[in-house]
Amino acid sequence: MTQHTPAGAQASDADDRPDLSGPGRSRVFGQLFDRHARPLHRYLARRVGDLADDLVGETFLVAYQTRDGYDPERGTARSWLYGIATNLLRRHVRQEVRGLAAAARAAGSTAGQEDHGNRVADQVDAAARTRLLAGALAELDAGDRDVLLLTSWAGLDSNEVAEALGIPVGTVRSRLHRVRRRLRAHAPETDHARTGDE
Amino acid sequence: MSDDNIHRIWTDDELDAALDALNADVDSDEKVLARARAALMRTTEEGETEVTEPGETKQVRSKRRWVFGAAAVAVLVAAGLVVQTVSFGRGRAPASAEAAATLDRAAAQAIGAVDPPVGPGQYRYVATHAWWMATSGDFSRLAENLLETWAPADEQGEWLLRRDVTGNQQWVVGTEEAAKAAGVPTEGGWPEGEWRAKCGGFFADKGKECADRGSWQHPTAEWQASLPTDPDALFKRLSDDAPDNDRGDAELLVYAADALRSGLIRSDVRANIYKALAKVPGLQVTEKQANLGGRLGTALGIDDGDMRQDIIIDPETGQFIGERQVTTSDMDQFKAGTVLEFTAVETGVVDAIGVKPQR
Repeated sequence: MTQHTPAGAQASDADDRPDLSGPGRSRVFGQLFDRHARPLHRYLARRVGDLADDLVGETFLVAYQTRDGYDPERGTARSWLYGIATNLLRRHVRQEVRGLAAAARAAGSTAGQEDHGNRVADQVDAAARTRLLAGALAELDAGDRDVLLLTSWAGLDSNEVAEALGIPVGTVRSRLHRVRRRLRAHAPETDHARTGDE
Repeated sequence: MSDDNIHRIWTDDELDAALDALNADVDSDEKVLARARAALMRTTEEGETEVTEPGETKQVRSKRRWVFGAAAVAVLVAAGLVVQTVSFGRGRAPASAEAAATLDRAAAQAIGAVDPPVGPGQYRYVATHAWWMATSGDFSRLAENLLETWAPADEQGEWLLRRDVTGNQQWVVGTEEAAKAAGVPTEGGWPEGEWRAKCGGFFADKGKECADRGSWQHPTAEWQASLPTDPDALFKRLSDDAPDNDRGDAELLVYAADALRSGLIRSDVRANIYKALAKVPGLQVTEKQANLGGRLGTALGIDDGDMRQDIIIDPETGQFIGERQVTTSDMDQFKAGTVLEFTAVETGVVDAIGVKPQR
């Protein structure tokens, strides 16, 4: 696992507020890309698969076009980029939901793992939960899914999610709480007996 | 097996583990990232060489910034950032007699007009059809954004803002086919969704939704009541409030349009604003019968040397119809006479939040 994030999240937050409308834009945007493109691509790929290959570039082009709208005092470049990416993702909700529904149907893929007693049962449980989760995510309201996955997959904190989505941070927290509660209660335990290959 | 099919609440850890595992097997292809980076660098470097040319480039840059600013406003709203007005030119000559007469007539009608009252429990509905320019590389399109606001009779109550990119668009430079072939975005670009907040403070910090006392951009009842009623005093207030930028007096029109476009300005205040605008130097009737999204009105505008800021009003009713920006010289990829953006506003009264008026 290669992490390019500089040590110290606080310090990195402070310097993730570049002046995007000043001179030397190529350099500034180059740095922006190098810092954020890889995790952003991964986030997008987890949400919409191969479409991420286009969306990651599109996110940065939109960011460049609309750079005058970025105010470093109001949020980090990271929040802003994920906000743009979220808007772009909205055009592909159907695709995302199809992907989640497929993941919900797929057999748990613990294949290739060696048997180690009840670890296997644990893995089967975990795989089953992952499938159930996929099904539940498919049924979420798109806005709720954004809040949850920006938090869980992109690693944004509540303030950053609020900045990205343009909603109050209190709303982010209450939505997150509600969605998590719903997901935890949503899915039935699986019937292990049928876990096998498709 | 039937016993297994029971409902059980997952722990937080179980949920997190499932979230971590789902779709975790993705990896980033270096080639994909390198391609995206190269495309970004091409775009930024093109922009940079154009604005660093000597000579007349300062104005070109202003325009460029401004054109992008139109799109930027939307995205920055999405990001919860403050909308900043981007700016511009100079040149002072009195408002033309025709413009002043048009405004006077509209003002007289506005004074006489009675806005449909919003009763207790009702909402003022404001639909803003905003056609904004999206520019990607060599391509530009005007795309329609529908912004709908429900403002409660009691300003302190809950407001609703709904944003929708309608999909209606006009290609201004290039064609959709060519844009697709070139791999540039051909749709979207602005946020969509619903926001609710007391006092219309959709993008305020939590708990501070009602803290904004008002401005030309957020014309609360309190703010409207604070405006001078004398036209000269109101003109001075407008001049003081509008930023002193290189767009000169066109910026006054931008500020007035910000307030008028809200759909929330009382008819007597609207009349006063029209009278104050008659004092704006350089204001001209730019088109007698301007068509803004199907609605006709008289366009009044100021040319800052590169582009013109117009407001469109119906002098027969005093209604504010909308605004637009039109290039008056060739700039960037836009020929003189290109409409860079336009906004048409409609208002109504409805009984419930989220409900559109009957047609």
